[in-house]
Amino acid sequence: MATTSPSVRASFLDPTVLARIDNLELLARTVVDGFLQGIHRSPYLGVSMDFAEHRQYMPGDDIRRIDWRLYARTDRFYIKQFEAETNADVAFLLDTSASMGYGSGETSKLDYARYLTASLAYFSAGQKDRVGLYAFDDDVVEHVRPSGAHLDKVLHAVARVKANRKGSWDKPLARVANTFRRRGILVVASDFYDDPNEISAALGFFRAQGHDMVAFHILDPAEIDFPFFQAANFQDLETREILPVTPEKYATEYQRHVRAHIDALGKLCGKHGVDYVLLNSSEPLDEALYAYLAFRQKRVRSPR
Amino acid sequence: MSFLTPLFLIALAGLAIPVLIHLTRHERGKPLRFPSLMFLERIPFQESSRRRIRHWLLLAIRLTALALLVAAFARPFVRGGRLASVGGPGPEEVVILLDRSYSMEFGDNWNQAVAQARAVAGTLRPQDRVSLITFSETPTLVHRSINDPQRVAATLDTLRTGSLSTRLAPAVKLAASTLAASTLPRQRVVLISDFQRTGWRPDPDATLPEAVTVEPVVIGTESTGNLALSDLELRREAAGGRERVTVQARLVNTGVSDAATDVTLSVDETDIGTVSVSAPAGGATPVAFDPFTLTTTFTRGEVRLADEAGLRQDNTLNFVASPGGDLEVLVVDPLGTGTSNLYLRGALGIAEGAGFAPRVVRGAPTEEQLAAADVVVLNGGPFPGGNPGDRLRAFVEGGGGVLFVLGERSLVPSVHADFLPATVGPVSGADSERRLGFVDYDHVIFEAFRGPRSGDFSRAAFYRTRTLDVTDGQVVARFDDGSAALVEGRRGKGRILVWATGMDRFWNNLPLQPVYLPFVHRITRYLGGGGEVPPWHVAGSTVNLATLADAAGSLELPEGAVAMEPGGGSVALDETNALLRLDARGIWEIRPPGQRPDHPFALAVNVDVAESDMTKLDVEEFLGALGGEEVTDGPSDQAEAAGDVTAEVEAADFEKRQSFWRYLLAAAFMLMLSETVLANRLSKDPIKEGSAVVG
Repeated sequence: MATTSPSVRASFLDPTVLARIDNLELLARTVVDGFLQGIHRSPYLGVSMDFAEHRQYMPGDDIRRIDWRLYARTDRFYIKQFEAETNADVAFLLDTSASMGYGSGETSKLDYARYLTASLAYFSAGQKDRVGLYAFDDDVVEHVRPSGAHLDKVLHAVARVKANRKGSWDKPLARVANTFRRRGILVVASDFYDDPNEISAALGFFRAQGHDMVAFHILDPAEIDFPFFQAANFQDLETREILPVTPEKYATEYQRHVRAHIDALGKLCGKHGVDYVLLNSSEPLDEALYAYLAFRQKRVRSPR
Repeated sequence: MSFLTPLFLIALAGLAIPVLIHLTRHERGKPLRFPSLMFLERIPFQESSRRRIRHWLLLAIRLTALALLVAAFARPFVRGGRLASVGGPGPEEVVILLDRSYSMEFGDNWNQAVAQARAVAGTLRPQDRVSLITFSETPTLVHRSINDPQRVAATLDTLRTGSLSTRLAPAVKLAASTLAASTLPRQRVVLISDFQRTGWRPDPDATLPEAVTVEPVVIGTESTGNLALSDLELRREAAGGRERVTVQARLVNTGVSDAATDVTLSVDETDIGTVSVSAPAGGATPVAFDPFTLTTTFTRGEVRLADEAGLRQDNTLNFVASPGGDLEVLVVDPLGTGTSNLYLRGALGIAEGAGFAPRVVRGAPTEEQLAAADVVVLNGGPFPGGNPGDRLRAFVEGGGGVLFVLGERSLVPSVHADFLPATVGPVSGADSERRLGFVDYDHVIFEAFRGPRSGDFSRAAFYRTRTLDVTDGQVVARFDDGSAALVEGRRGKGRILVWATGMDRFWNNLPLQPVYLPFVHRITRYLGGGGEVPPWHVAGSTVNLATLADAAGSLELPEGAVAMEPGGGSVALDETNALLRLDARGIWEIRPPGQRPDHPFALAVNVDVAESDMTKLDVEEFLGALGGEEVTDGPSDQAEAAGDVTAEVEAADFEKRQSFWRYLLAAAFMLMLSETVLANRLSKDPIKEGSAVVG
């Protein structure tokens, strides 16, 4: 795997640098172009139906894809696999619940999710994918239907959203399910503050419908490390509930619970075939981009 | 370190406030917004472990500031050490008034009083000064404004109780004058006494300045158990040419229960009789002994009882008695009728004991008659002229006495006009009655009538009098119109008295008044030998020994005589007037030093029985009358309360002068400023305060 130079990461992927760019399109282009230049690889992958590899036939495979010539030579059934087309429907599910508005540094989780969504949308649009957007909290607040010409709309919608309401998964995902019917790719960016079972079940529903899914779990470093030590009243950004906390005594327990949550999410997502990526909002976007790139490559190699 | 208002120290409990603020501030501060409490809520709540103090320096500053604030309000001060002397109260002038009256000998009162005085002297600082005044009936300035407490203590060791009564007012006056001479800023009077009610008579001059602190130290408790002897009286009667004396007294019981005791009479140190007497609670019983024959001049006697529990000095009454003879009184009455001198003869004839031997003559007294007479009464007749007049003048100048009772026939030959102390004028006042408007109660004749209910001359009405124009005499009594009623003149060794009206009831109704009999007796006895010698004197009284010697007859004071006190000391006599203050109970002897004559001139002195009444004075009322700074809280626990209040006043003075509270307040203010700066600096730490960007 190629690596990016530190200078590139500092210049184009660092959230603190990106936070100073108001124009999301420019930001996305800067991120993606810079990223791709950094890894010296063409951004236009899978433009044609190129042969990729053979694999042994498994019951249930389409018999039309059996390579009869190879059967003649080896007396065994092999399936021919090709590079998939990339002009898929890509919908970004952007969590705009109030908890996403938190940030211990200059960049909030929502900002980070914006950069991520914009960058991936730009990246996908460059691959001739049809990009769409579902921004949601306890309902869908912004909806851009997937289209090859909707990148601007997506970017504008991403720029507009604010995190100020309580979030939920049931209602917005129900609406997504009603409107995003054709099989495609769902990219979810959220802090996933909910029961991992429910989240994975909801995402698994889409996976069962044939969608490919990648879940970016965005957390602020303060949410992971809990670096507080001043006794204070902690207020839940969504429920407004207040809890007196002496962080010194809570930190270890908190970290343990967060780690368990992350582990549970990763395990359950894997169980449902959803790619799970944990992102630290203080770290550059390259990890997210790498993960997405890997996800797309995997999808191209194993079309459904 | 002490505090003037220590109750404020309760506020130190407020030190918990900063601690609680440190521990619970997050509950009241701005909430720290956090994405979700989902994980925090899963952590078991541990109240005790949640509280922990982080900013120890900040907490220490807050606690210190609060403690200083509380300490400032508690008004701290220092009593001892260098700090107290530097900022402490200024020098103090202390006057110790120590009661030496004989009532202080009750129980352990005197030792307590001396201990209190010594304690006061012991608390004095080098810059203080102390005066010691002992007092009973009169105050004595023992030490004036010295800064030597050891000297005062040494003097206290030598002091004993006296035989006199308590008089608070003179002592207060002396204390006031002593303090007036002091320039020290603080002044205090420590009055140590048993505070008997009889010792205080309100006196407008007995006051202390407002700035003077009065510290009463009440010694002893309300005492009720005391037996005392009082009202000693000698009744004389002639029997067989000798004089017999019956001694009477009263046993006074001030206790709450009946008491019985033996009372003994001794004469010349020989017990001659003992009677058992019981006295009811709060009452008195007369005590009488069998009469004894008085044969020797200056016979000493003593009536005593056994009462070890109460006061000792009032258990004994002393007396001195000398046998006396009848005064030969020659009444010269020109009328010679029974009515013209009826009352006068009657009065002289009924005298008890050493009385009078009246003899009435009509004409001028002969030489033999005058030689036998002690007193001549010219009752309404003229002053004799010629040789009888010269003999009468010689009689007076030789020591005799003449009473010139004026009547209508009272003429004075011009050659003898200068012998009389007043010029006799015409008869006046026939149209209106007059009364005696002035009586010289200091005169021997009238001193027995001085006290209340001792005789009322104002009831006597005088219808006619002779006008007297006083020349060189002393007016002893006047009528209410100012004219002289009784004039005395000294001629040689004798006296002549001129009475401006009659001694019968023709010109006045004096013979019908109760005072007539004693008046006649006293005036006759005065002319016959000066007066009677009292068998005993009250301690504290001052006597003129020359007068007493005169009253005793031919006695003359020995050359170079001194007064030997009962305790063994001696008092030099003033030769001019021989005044002697009898301030010790017992027998005083007047004799030349070094000689021991048999039965010398002696005086008996007894204590004033009023001092035996131990009823306490209301100290609060007493202090109110004194003025000054009141420091008592009531009669019950006066000593303790007075000590407390004095300590309070002293503490206030210390605190006022040191004013530590100012420095404490300034320090607290500075600490609060530091706390503000430090707290602001700490609150600017974003991580520590958990600040976050919330989009």
